[in-house]
Amino acid sequence: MNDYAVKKSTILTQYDIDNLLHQFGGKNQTYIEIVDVEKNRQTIEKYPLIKDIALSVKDTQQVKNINKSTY
Amino acid sequence: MKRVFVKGIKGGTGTTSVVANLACALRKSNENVYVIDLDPKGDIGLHLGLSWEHQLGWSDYSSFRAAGCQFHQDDDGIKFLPYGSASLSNLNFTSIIESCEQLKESENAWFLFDCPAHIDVVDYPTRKEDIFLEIVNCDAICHSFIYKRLNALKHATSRWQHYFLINRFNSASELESDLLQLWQSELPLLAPLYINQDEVIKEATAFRNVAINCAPYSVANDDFETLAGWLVSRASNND
Repeated sequence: MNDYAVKKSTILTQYDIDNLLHQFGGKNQTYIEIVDVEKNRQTIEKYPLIKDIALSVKDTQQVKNINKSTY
Repeated sequence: MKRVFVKGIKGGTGTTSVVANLACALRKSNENVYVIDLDPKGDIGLHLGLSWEHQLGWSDYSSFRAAGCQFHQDDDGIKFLPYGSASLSNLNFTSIIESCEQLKESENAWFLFDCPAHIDVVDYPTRKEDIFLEIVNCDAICHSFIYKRLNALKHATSRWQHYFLINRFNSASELESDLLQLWQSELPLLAPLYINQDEVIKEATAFRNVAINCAPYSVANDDFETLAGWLVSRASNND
């Protein structure tokens, strides 16, 4: 038997957005951004040049973090 | 005065057509608009109805005052100063940018500078209220240039408002759609709008006009009106 009390739709309603905003939004943020992290990862993997750049940017950030922690 | 510098992150990104159409969109909102061509290969005059044989511009004069006679006005009321044939080397692009303040009615006017791709962003005499639009296409070369630019911007000493603006976006291309999604979620400084590829932008030049005059119901028209509106909101934040 279907449980009609449970929303099955994948479309976000204003109620869902308010809930997400309450959960993740900052104090001064009136919007939330939904990022498909997995899709981005697949895009980066798909194109070798994009992957090289992504790895390089990540490396630079890691080096920076190491430098920061030594101070 | 509101100064907007428009520069391609590399050559051939469509900077001059963006400048011409943006100028027209701002002018249609009754803004006072000046376009200054700083690109020897830009030829903004062709987009704004100047004769193709016209060769003179600011680079053919010894002072900004003397070059004043080369300001032209198109049918919509956009005032523009062509680059010229560089027969004299007395004036350089920085002196032209700074001299624009001498113009009458410059206080509330928009100044759009069509900047060549080969001069680096940091070489322009920018102020913190200035908006710098760096035009990119949705391709891997621009992706690489963008990340190089982001690295360079970390070390910039002066301040300005920098945005990457996507031009000629082709939604039918899988690569472009992939990159757009990636950039929109991960790239800092990406303008929250983009200019779609539209044949009318190319066709309009052949008709000695700009796209938003030739095809007022086109996608291009909507895109440039949105861009103009967004810039007006950015500029009013500065005020």
